[in-house]
Amino acid sequence: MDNFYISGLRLSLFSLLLAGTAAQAQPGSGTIKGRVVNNLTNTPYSDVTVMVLGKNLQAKSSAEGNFSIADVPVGKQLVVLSSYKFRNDTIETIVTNGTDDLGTIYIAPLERPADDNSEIPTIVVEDNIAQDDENIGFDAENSGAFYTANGDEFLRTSIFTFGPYRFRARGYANTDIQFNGMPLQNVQTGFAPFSQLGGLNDVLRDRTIAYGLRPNEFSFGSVNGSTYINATAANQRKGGTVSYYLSNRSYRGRVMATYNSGLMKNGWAYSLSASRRWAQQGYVPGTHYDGMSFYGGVSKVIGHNQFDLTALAAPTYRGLSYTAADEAFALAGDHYYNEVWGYQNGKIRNSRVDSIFQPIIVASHTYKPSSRTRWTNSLGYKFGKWKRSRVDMYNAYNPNPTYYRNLPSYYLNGGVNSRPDIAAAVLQEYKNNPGLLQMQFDNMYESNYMNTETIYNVDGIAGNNYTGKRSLYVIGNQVDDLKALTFNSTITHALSDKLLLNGGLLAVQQSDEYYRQVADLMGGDYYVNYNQFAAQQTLFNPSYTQNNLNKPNSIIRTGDKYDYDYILRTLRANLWGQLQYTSNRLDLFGAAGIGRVSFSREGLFKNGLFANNSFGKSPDQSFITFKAKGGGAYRIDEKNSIFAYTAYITDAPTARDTYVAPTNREFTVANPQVSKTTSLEAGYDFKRKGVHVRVTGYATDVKDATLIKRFFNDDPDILSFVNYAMQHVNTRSTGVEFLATTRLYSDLTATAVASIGQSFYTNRPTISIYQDNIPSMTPITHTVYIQNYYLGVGPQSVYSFALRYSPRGYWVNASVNYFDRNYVEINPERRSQLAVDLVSQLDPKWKDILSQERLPGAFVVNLAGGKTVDITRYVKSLDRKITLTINGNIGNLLNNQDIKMQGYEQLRYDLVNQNPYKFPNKYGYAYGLNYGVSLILRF
Amino acid sequence: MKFLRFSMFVLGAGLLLNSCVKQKFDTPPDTTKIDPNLAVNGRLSDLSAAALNMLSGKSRVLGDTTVYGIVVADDRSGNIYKKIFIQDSSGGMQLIIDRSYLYGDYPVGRKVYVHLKGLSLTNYKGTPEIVYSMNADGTTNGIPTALIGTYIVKASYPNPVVPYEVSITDLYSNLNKYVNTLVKINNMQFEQGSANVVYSDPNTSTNRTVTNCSKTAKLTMYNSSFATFQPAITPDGNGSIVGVVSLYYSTPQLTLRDTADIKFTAPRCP
Repeated sequence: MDNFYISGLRLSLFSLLLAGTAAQAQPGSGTIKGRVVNNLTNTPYSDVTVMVLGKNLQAKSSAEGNFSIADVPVGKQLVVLSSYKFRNDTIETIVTNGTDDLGTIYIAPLERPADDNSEIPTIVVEDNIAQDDENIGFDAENSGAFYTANGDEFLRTSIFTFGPYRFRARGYANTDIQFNGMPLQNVQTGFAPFSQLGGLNDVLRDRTIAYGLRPNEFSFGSVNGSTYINATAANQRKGGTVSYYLSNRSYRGRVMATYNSGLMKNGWAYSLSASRRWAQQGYVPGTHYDGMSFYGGVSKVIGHNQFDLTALAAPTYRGLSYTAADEAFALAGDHYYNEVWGYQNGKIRNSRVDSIFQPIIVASHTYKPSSRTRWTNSLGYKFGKWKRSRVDMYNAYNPNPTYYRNLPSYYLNGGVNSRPDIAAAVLQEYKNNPGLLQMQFDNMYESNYMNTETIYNVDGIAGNNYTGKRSLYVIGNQVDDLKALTFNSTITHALSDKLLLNGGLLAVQQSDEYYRQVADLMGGDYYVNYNQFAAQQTLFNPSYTQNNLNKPNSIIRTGDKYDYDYILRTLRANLWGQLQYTSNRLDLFGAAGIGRVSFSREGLFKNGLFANNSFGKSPDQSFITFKAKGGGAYRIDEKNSIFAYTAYITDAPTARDTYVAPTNREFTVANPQVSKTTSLEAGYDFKRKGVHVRVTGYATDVKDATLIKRFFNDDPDILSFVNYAMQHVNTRSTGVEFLATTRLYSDLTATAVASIGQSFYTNRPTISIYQDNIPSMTPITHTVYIQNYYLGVGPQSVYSFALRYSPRGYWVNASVNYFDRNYVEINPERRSQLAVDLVSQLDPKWKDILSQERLPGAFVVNLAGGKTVDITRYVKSLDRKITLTINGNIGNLLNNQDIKMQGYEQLRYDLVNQNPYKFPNKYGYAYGLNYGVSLILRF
Repeated sequence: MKFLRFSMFVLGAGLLLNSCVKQKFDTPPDTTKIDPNLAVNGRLSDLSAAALNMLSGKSRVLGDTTVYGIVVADDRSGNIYKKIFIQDSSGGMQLIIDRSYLYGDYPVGRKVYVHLKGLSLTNYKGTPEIVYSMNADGTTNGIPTALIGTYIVKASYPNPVVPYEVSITDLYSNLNKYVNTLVKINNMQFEQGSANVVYSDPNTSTNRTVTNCSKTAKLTMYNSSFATFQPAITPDGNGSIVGVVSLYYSTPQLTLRDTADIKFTAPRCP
């Protein structure tokens, strides 16, 4: 096998330290070869960087752990093996004119085998808690900034320990992620939908993460860093895996099977993986889970070329859970109360089902004319639908069981007459009849059965009348039908042994058709494409109520589109370049990029309220963006080093934050503009055998961001979706990250991790309020006084202390963790002049309206462990190694079910009575004791 | 060996098919055909008579009585709000309920049983009503949403709804009989000033007046500004009108369910 794995200079810090001590060169050269193997599992380490120190020579180990480096000068050489999977190892050898076989090198894995990494992220990346759509929760895509951690203990703790509690590193929202060279972020939302990678842990193991502003070789990165998943067939470990996983989290069970050929002698490699995850009910009542995942990859190496074709698909159907207010949790007597399910014919049905099927296909080509140059081109295509359901109604009572008018508090906060006695009677009724707290599907069916109506002039054809059961309630899907074509070209070239040049061109063309679609008429015969909220305006113009004037009064049946239908098209192109300088003591890098983003909207419905501005294609919105970053690291001596990086990045606003209400009109906010991000990070790093300490400080300012929040305002005077567009929003995230890990005893390691940050608004932005049921486009505009309020980005102070005992053959890890300073997401409108108009500053209400709630801090104890058994040892007849691994982990061992991990203020505010408790904050609770156990057979 | 390994993979893949997440739902049976046939031990006319004997603003907590009624007027058009009118063979009654969109559960033609125990009977400015309870300021509360099911039992749908056909003089002389019932009056028309105008002003609910041909008897029609037919134009012909009767002290008022209740198709009397 030739050295097709030879990459550019991915020099690890440690190995550079040693570079100064390289041996003197002698005439002649030879070849070094060997194999790197995990001493616990006896499985090979792939993708290990093998480097001859002081010489510009390196290679990567193959899927079978083999490596070979030719043209090594004769004499004493230091060979450094580095990988995130273990601590760097250095081997001293004398190279002669022949082949120097280092044999099999056994290295202990870092901390834990890669297996147990793979279980928890499914919580991190698959956020089952939906917020109000009203609050446009992209959180499902949003949480877990990185797909998984690699060797760094800080990242590992951030993701596996803090992640399930909604911790977001540095308060940042999104990151840059590539899959075999294909960028995965949705260019219209900026978020990477990690959930689409679910269930394929076996083949997505090889990830490279550059955290923060550090340089990487595959992209410019984001302020939050970047992740590269190398999941080509050639990169998969040879052999098969079958595993079974049992848990009480979002799913109960998972079966996964994978087979990889490894790179075969004929230059081909193939890889197949499939899994199924399921739960009739997950941790939270009413949440079901049904996910299948498929992956197939094939690679072919021809000389200096590697061709890869990879496809994956993960059709997943999940019943979601929902946030609720304190009153509802108290009524239910359960912190996992979930209002979105109910009984239908005696069976549990969830009204909010998330179903996604968006396969990805990537074709890539890597050309390595020499060990100094690598050029990769990837062409990716992603397509398919993401549907989210909920109950829709027309001229009917709100079916949400915790609708505020139903609850006891309504009789305390409701109107003129406070009636504690009625509140008590209602409370008693909920105690007697807890079923009232769930959706009443049978009731909705009954209403639909009884509602016979005639629709006149169907489709605008005079005399075309239709009579039947018109559904008052339907289950409707919010659909995103996506097609994205990406092209990414990156090149890495070593100009000398100290200078490395990277660069690339990235182009993404994405189009999404968004619409609502009837999924279930719930016993009725039809639905009508009317806008009930515009009905209030019909006096002025009877066509206002039509969602689509091109087909007025249209009868909607299962599968038909209603409400809105439009396409957003985005074209994004980026060009970037980077120069890295590395020497014994000093690393420096600089990178710059330029990009262009343009998008447009095409309306497929002619909305009655916006007849002249909803149908057809809108003008393009385009933005030019710039990026620059740079910095360096300086090694004071073999143990101590310091580093500092900075970046300036401009980002185009997304289409959602540009169009006031893309569902029904093409209007944009006034002068949409790019946001400007300035970021700085610096730190100190201390490494000694068994000890690693790092302290990093960071500060990031974002200026001129645009943020649109949308919600349904049920106020009888408004009764409409309302769009709150905040422009010129400035925020700052600043803080300190700390890592200390030390070997206390030969097999006992202690690790302490902390992150203490502050993410907050730094100005008083202008808010423009646009109602969806009024044809006028002149917004109400005023200032919101939100300076110094915190962003709702999860706990901003997190601490973890872990002890790990890992003698040969098994490992145990126990940690104590503390989360604090988790602030609820504010409703900016509550910090306006109007919200406190005429309220005395001495009135306690003043403080109640303006203060921002901080969720209580919480301690959590976690426990994990694992063991691998070599079956070959017991069954001598086997010609190949077979191992059985069992891994388990328990989260929240003390079963604390009172941890509020998420909170937000409702966007509706009682402006009339200025009562902040009429529409109280909503919360989501973290799981109590949760576990996952996996049994993995490798062959 | 290679075969063994591959077959283990296939075995694993086969395990994936052990589907166990059931998410197909049966359509619930149509329960609107069922009448639970509860025992009835009271008549709406007796309740009505009791309320009419009370002073306005007074109320009486009701005892262990169950009545039945067919819904004769609901809130579909928005002209009636947070109440339904029910009628049994003896008379009619208003049920005041603290919820909107009642027609989804209690449309015209639905039979209901009402357990009166715990509810109050009140005289609101001359009209009998069943409410949940009175407030200190004399206003009343409708039945709270969460409690509706404990007082009102849903029964069969549909049931015929036939208004009392009355003459306007008959109506005036038997107000206590017709209060809260659905009536049909023939040979009526809108009075000058009430014809060819919107049913209600957009911002305030509006009274319109209908009269007989001889203009000897008039009837006030109360139209809500929240009614969907608020901007519709009142017809200027002559014919029949249907509506529920309420009393403003001793003056009758008519409330429409929808504009279909007015069939003024004949030429107007001069």
